Amino acid sequence: MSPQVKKAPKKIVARPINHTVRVAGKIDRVAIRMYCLGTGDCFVLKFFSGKTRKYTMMIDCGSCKGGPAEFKPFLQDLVQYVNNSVDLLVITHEHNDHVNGFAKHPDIFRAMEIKEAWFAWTENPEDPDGAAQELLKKRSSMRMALQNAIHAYKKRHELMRIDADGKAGKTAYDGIMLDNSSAFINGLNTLASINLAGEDETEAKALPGMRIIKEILEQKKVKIRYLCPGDIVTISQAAGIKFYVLGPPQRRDLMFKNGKEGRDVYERNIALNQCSLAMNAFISLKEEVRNDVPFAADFVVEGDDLEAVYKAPVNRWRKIDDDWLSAAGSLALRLNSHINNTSLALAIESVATGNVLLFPGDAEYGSWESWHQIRKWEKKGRNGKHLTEDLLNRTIFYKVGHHLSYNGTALEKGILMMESDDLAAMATLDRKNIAEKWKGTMPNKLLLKELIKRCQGRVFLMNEYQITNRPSLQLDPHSLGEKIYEEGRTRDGKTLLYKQYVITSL
Amino acid sequence: MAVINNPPNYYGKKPPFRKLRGYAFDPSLSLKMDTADINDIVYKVVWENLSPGPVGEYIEVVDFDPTVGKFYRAVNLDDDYILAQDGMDPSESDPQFHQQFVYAVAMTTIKNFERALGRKVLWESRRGEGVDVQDEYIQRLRIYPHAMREPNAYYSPVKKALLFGYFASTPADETLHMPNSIVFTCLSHDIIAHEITHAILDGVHNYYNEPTNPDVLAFHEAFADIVALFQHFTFPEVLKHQISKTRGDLGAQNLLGQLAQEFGSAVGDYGSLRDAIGEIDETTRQWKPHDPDPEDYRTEMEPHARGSILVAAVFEAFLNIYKSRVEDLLRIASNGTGILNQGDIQRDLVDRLANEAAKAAGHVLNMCIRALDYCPPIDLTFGDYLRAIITADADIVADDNRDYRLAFIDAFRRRGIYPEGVKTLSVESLRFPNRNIGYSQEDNDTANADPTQELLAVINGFLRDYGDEIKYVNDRQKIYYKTREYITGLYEKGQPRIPGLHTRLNSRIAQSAEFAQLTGLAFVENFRDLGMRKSSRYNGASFQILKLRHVSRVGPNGTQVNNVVFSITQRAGVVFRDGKIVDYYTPNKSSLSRLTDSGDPIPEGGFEFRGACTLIFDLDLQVLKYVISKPILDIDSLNTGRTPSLNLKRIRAQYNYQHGESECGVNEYFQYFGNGFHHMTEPFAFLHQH
Repeated sequence: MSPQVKKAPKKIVARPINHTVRVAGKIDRVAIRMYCLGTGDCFVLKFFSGKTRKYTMMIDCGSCKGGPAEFKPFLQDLVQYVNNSVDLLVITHEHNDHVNGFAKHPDIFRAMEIKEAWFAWTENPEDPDGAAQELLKKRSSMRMALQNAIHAYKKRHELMRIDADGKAGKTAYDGIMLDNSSAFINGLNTLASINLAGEDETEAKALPGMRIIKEILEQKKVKIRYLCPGDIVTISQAAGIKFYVLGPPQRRDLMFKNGKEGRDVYERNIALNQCSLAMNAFISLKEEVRNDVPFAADFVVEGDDLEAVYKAPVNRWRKIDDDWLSAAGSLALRLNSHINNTSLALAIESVATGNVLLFPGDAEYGSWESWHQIRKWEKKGRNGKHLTEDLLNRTIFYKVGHHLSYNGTALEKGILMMESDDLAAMATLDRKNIAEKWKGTMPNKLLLKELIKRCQGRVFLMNEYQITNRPSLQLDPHSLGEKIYEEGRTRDGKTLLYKQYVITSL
Repeated sequence: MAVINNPPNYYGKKPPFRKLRGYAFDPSLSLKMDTADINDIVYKVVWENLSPGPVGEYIEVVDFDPTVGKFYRAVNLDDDYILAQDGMDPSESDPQFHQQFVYAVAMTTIKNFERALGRKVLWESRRGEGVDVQDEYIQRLRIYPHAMREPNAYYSPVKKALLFGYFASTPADETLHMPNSIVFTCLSHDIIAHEITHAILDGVHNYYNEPTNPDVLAFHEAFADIVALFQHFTFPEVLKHQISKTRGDLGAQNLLGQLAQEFGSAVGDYGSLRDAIGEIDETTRQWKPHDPDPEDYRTEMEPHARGSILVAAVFEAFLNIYKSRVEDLLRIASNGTGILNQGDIQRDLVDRLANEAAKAAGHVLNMCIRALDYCPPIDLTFGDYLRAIITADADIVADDNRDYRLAFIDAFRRRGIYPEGVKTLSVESLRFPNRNIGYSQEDNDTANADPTQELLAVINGFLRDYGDEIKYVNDRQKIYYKTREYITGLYEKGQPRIPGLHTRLNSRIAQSAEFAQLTGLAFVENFRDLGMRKSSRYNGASFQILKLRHVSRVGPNGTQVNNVVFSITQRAGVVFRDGKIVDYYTPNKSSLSRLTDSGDPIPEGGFEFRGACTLIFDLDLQVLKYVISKPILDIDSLNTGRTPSLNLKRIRAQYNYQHGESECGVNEYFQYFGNGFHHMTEPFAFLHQH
């Protein structure tokens, strides 16, 4: 039998156009609300059957910028909108732009009814394999190393500054060295603001948002599930939809993997290597004696001629005492990518229509690739496809990974598989409220262009400020009608609270 | 034990070489059965007096490891035991061997370079404010073999040093490399040769660190790779082994065309870090040759990947040259069919093929290195480089009977690399136009001589003196200071003043409209309106003279090249917004400053724009032979007699490249931690992030 013949009839069966065949009580509509807190994720999904609300789901709560006061109006609206109760809270991963909201207003979440909470298997303190514990331990030593390195780097910067100021006249050259050093620190600060609990922490703690929400859930004795790739969850209240767990991967190598440019991702990420040696050195930075020498102790020497040459004041400009600290950069990137790859990635499927909503968190290429390798889903999709590919084919809503950066969306194994004519996307990017050095990578122009094309303009950015290729130029979202697209503002009209997209025939 | 003295009539003769054992590639190949034998080789390094380090004439190895704050004992290569056994045993766990190895490879590369270039290698001088003239000359490049814990190695133009890192490996496949084993970048021949080439190139063209177009940094990378690759062909045992293995087909998978095997597999690639002719397919794990795709040159902006296009072009030119050189041998060995029988090829044939390969590789590398003297001093593109290769070669090899130049043109064409402003792609049109402007003795009617000819006559005579004097100087420091003296002049107390090249140009340049046309530089009256500084010495736009050098070469048929080359650069402060020049400002005396000349901050959209040219004078004919220019002015405006204006096309291209939004194409590390393209203090540290 030729594949075309096989394909045709199945397709017709799979996508009924006539919605009246639906069974009463099953979910057929969803409102997806993106809170516009600033670059960072906070979503509420309300699933309906006819006019009845069946199930409320909240995903993440965080933003790059803002203190409790800035968060307040958004969270107040959220509480009101969900009527102070959510059926399910999903925490995708431990990055400040996804969890810090819980720490800004713990009281709000203490008071909220949360019926169930989902985390990725990587957060399970009692993971039977011990893999999660190992990862958590690793994460914590990476944080420790990074903190030390940032301290050392800043100290060096300060010394440079004092040195330059102390000279008879600060030269242009000093200025450039300081500029470059500041740029580096900016980069570190950006990644630290996402990945670290606080700058002055002496120990590597979990992020406050994560810590606090976990405490709250424990106090309230909320049922917690830790999900693994390949899990398929159905919930009696939410009849008619299924949750497919795609990531995070369980294979260690994929957790750290990067894609090849052009084929896997739009732009190449630097290969992030094990920086275990640098990490050891950073961790021991604060100790008196640093003993992690890669050679036998006999080779270490003190006071020979070259030491004198190295330390001679005329040769000061050639010293390299602190240059190696720039390894903090790759360490920070690696930690960042690694945590992104621990994102709980979910595909939510409407059983009746086969339509899929994709919420990948901030999963990077390694995770995307792993979805296609889930063993038990092999050949479980239509036409003998892997189920993941099939789910991507049927995706009609995509929460864009990692704020439209080049590494948050896979290419061949991701966006190019999203073939549905009904595709729409939401991206949590707001260049007015963003970590400084993210401005350089977000949005990735090629990715945005592809999305606009595939979604026929139905790409909703949190804020189109400073975006050249504005999706709204392609399609004014308000022209979709109030039933489909809605924006909410504070009473004074000054602040945009949320953007909401409704899928009327899920 | 009694000391046996040398007999009184014995005179120790200085040995020509110091033999030092090391790897032909890197430690990983010593662990593989089929390559272990050829990987351990003896480097024959030109003999020089060394002190522990090693510290010699060109380099000083300082083994300080800042990550642990410790010094490792420096090797004394003059130690009797070490001398007696051709240096230390190759060993990953002995830092003294690491010191020996970086020294051996660095010196081998330097000497190969000097041979091709025909002059001594000088490191780029130390610049910056507060640096005394005496401190500018850098005798020794410093090498830190254990400078950081990262899969990275780089040349630091600021510190005049090479920094090598070490790291724990994370192979994609545990059968390729032991996971978590320590990899030292200072033990890879290819990485050392690559990094030292960056330093050498910086000494020849110091503005090639400034990325004004996507080709500039890519060229730095490509050139460093080319030198490292072709150095493989100078190891006879390696060459014969690979010829034998590939049955003489060097276009098949072989070690000669690959770079950094250990590094590649340790950071998670399936093969070497880079390969000039092919790649390992990740799914099939099979090696397959690259197909040149002209699309790559248009779209690939990451410097290493873009550089690979140039490397592949040069390597293809080499392969075609090699193929044409061995055609006859293959016919002889195959009864005239040109098709070899199956099985191993004969030992004698291997030797002859290896001989031809070594020759062809040597020629190609020479062409690549010599071309450097024919390149513009700034803003180089691959197309410019092709023209430089063709011109340099045509100057010294009049009769290209083996079609070397065609092989290059063809390989570049197949990758869509075309020089700008060339109407046809032929040797004649690619060769820079021969100006032959001079001032011959016959028309010595000075009253009628035009100012340009007069100017050039003065310079020619002066440069001839320079050539005569510098020819016999062997001491690098003397070469440096003598050259400096010729540029700036000699002002000694009690002695008559001897004006330098700068002053001699000053005195006449202002009147020579033709010189402005020739060079595209702003020796025009309205220079102040174009955002240019006034010279402190004469009434015209300021300019800088760079890299005065004497080039003396002898071609295969006895053709002699006897040139003096120098470059002139100028800069203008331009405020560029929305695709237009909206204003000009006078740049600060220091090009590093963030302020304008008047002490105001540089306005938004303001940047420094450079023009420059390389002038090549033939000392024998006493003519200005070539002018290789990156015009600061719009040449049309000069030719048509309009008010001279700046070169908008170049400004726009540079601005768009440097200020294009996120897709600037370096890497994520650069985007997070860099400070844009201006004033990069450690450009190579950022580039080499893996």
